[in-house]
Amino acid sequence: MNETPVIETKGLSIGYPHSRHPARIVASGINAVLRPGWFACLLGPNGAGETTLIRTLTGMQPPLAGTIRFQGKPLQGFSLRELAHHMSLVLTDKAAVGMMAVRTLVSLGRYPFTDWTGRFRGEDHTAVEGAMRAVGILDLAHRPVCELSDGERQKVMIARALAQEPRVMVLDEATAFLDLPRRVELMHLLRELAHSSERAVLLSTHDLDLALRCADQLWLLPPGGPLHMGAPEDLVLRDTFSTAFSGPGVFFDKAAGAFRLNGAKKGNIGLKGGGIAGVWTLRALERAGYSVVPEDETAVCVEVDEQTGITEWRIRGGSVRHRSLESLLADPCLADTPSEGVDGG
Amino acid sequence: MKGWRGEAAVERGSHPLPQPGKGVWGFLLLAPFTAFVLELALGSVLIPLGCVFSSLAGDEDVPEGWRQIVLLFRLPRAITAMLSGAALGMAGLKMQTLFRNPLADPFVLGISSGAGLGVAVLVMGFWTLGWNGYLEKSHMLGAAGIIAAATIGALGALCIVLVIAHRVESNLTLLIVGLMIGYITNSLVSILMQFSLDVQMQTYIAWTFGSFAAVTWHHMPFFVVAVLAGIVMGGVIIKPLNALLLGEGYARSMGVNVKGIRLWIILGTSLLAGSVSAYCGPIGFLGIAVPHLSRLLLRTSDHRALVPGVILIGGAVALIADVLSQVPGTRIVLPLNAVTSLMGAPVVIGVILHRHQAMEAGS
Repeated sequence: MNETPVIETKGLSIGYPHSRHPARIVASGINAVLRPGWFACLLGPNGAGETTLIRTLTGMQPPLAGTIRFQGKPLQGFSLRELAHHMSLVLTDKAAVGMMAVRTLVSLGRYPFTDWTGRFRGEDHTAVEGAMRAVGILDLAHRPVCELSDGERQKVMIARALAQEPRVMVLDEATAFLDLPRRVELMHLLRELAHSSERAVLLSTHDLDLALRCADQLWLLPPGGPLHMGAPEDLVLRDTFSTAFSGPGVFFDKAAGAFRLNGAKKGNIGLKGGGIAGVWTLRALERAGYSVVPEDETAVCVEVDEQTGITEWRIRGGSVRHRSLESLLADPCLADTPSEGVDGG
Repeated sequence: MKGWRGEAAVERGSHPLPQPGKGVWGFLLLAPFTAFVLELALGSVLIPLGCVFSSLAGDEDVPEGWRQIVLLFRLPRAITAMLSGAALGMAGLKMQTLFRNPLADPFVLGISSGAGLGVAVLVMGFWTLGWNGYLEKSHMLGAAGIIAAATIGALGALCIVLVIAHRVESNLTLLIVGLMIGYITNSLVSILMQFSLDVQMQTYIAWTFGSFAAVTWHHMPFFVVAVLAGIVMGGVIIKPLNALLLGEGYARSMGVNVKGIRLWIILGTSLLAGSVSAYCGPIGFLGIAVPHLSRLLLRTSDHRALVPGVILIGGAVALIADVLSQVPGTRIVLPLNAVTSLMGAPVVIGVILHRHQAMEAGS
């Protein structure tokens, strides 16, 4: 890893200067590195200052202290136009472009490279074409942007950023407002874009699950800082992840790699039966507030029965056969579960 | 009704953005010239087209009266109308793009209100100060005096806007400040009216009706230069205007000096709106309706098409409004502002009711 980092910050403090009062520091102690070919996700609880950090890293607002080096040179030394040659953004601003063809919008990404008339040369056409192909929106080229779905629109904005042929692409909450399949698709797309070229991609997101699965590097920003950086799995094992995000009522389950609600436990239940139905029964029971324990440790045990070809649930010793998990959870026998020895979390 | 939503979606999906054909551009080129000729031929006196062309060609055979009407009155008036329409269309387009607001017009920054205050101070204020004798002697209440007063008023409003634009970062703040400057100047005008005579009020109100007739050949060079300069100032920033459609953040990230462009847009718009207000009065609705009409006809929000579009459509619409305001063949003359509003307001209502995507550029 001898390559010059695309972005490197040392002792960075971010926030808002005040002329009369002392500056309002949002976070400090930010030491981060972003290398070519990396897909990094910036995560933080709401209000931790991810947007402020993104704004500072992209030169939209000055740092309060510390240094930002962009491709080895101080960020402040870059003019807007120079920066536009190396860095492109996808923002949360809604681009109200109205009746504009997708291709025209993507072409705006060539802005820094064309003369004042905006005339395209060969390489500009190639870049626009390539960006649309990489994002998979070639077939949308002539559609008006205002008629696209949110997911398609976001892809168009990414294609525009890509047409700018940046060394680093910075995306601010680009996956918000999208449904889960679209989010997964977008995260994979961004990772592909980073890996297939020596381009760095930095995405701020609240999608912990997806970020854990997709990102090469996580930047964790707890409120006030400092920023923790590393491979997602390392951060989980070091408990950085749970410290940064756990709050009252929520804890990070290291084994499952997901956040859990620690609601009041209703009691222990045994579960007999495996397979897909077993997994979802487990989830249903946990959602309802039960702890699932080995079946010989508790009096109440749920049995999953798939022998007849239809999935059915039965509480051991009971006679009622439930055809759905909803009806199982409503079974009064479950309410009698012993709760001794169970603590809240 | 079954499944109509789905069908609509499928239909939309299969249609690419319809591009305006050469026909639309042909129509747009033809419209201002047709309207121009109509403006020369129609009025209280109807002049046959043949005689109009002969007069323009310098033919001596045309009755002297008609020649005079065409060359001395209608020709400068037609040029003024065409240039004003183009200027207001261009100014409105830039304001809608800068503020990303479909209701913005050339006057949102208070430029025409400033011009109005200048005129009000001239025709009503100076009277109160007892300068009326001097004014009458020096013919200051003629067209030239009113143009000068309106120019000074517009420049005053512009100076305030520029100082504020230099200080504030947000375009929305600037928009609100501009609107408030408009309210302040309008209330000053009301106060002046409270203390003036009916005659003076009438002079002022006549100015607010708007008219393309005030620009004589004598004033024409100044007006032409001001409007052409303003239009060129808009034409050279087509590329950043397109970038601004994405919002300030994106524009910045592509290397646009947002504050510099904003200053340039304000100066260009003020030149356009200020000179039209000064020479013709506060012509309403063209500035807001012409950009929407252009988006509707050209089916795009790309400024490479819209800038020539607003110039052609603005010129044509202003000429048609002026022809209608003179109620051809009669001696009746309607207030120009009433006609432009009657033509412009339905366009805006139609655009809003159809939630047309044209509206989205700037919402």
